[in-house]
Amino acid sequence: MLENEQAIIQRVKQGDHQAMEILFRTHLDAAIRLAYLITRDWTSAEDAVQEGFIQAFRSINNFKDGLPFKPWFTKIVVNKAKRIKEKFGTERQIPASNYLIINDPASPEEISLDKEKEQALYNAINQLDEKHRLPIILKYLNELSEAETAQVLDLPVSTVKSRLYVARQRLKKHLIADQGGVSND
Amino acid sequence: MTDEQIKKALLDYTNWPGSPEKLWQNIITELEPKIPWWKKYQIWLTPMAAAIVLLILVFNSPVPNQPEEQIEPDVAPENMIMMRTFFIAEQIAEIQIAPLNNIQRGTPIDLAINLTALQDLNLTRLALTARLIKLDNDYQVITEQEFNPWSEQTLANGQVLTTKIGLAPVQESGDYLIEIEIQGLHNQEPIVINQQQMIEIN
Repeated sequence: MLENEQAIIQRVKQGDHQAMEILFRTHLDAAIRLAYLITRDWTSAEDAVQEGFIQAFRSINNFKDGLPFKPWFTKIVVNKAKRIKEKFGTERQIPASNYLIINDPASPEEISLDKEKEQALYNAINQLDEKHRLPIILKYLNELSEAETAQVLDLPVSTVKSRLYVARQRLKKHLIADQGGVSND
Repeated sequence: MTDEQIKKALLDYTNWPGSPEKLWQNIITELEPKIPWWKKYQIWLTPMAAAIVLLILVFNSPVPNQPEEQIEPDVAPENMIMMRTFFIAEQIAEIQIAPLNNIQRGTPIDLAINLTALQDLNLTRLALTARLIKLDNDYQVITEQEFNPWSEQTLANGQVLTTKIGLAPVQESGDYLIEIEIQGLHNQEPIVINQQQMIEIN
């Protein structure tokens, strides 16, 4: 898989649009979800991902052969999303509490207990401050290792580990405090 | 609270309602090198110029009842027309552009320029103009500089003329188009040869 990705990157370096589209489709899903969780708005997330891919393809010759594409590209998307979020402030953002209503049209009575716990967990993640929320998103949604997360966030690996620990503790406390919270570990 | 529960919560509430196809089209459109509108029609300009010259020659040719103009014995009049238009319709020389260093913003843009004769010719009074065009929405000409490294030289068949030029540094990174235009005289007729190359300035 990694070797295949390297072959694709070599084709991208030669300006092959088909290879660019393969990379785009491979990394789009994780990138757009990540950008959304940072910007809290789909239009901003699309802008961040679009700018991220354009920058990645334009500067692909600076990408070192043999390294995985995902952490390098994720770092670009995180920076683009943060910049767009700063640019638009709260103007485009949907409050975190509104996500649940927008994403699940079912009435509270219709939501199953599991769904309710999942919503509470998602809400708790969104209420974490960014320095604790981003490592959680990069580890669980983007499936980056702690070393890769450290590379994306320009932090030492030990800092990423401690932030992940603190974030999980806060999530647990939040869910225990919230009646019907998920606390099975 | 397991790792799987965290992952599922993040996935279930971040389903993108947009279109990957539309986003890809936006990206690929941005990545295409933007060429000034007149460049798109450049392929037609040479034949069009040839056609205009041909028309001028046809209208200026002697009418049948006038005394016949003296011509060289081994070249028929129709072939003379062909010869007159030949150098306009065909590429007679080639320009090669090569950056001499890794181009960074704030540093001079040093270029090596080669002019190679592709046919039997005799080009004189050569003048070189270099333009740097920003590939954004306005195609703004950032720099236009003239150089005269070959003004006293002649480009003959099989010859290559070389020179190095330095363009003024730019302060903004991005994609740029370098355009090299060489003007000269061939058999006392003015000719223009040009070449473009895209560069990325970091």
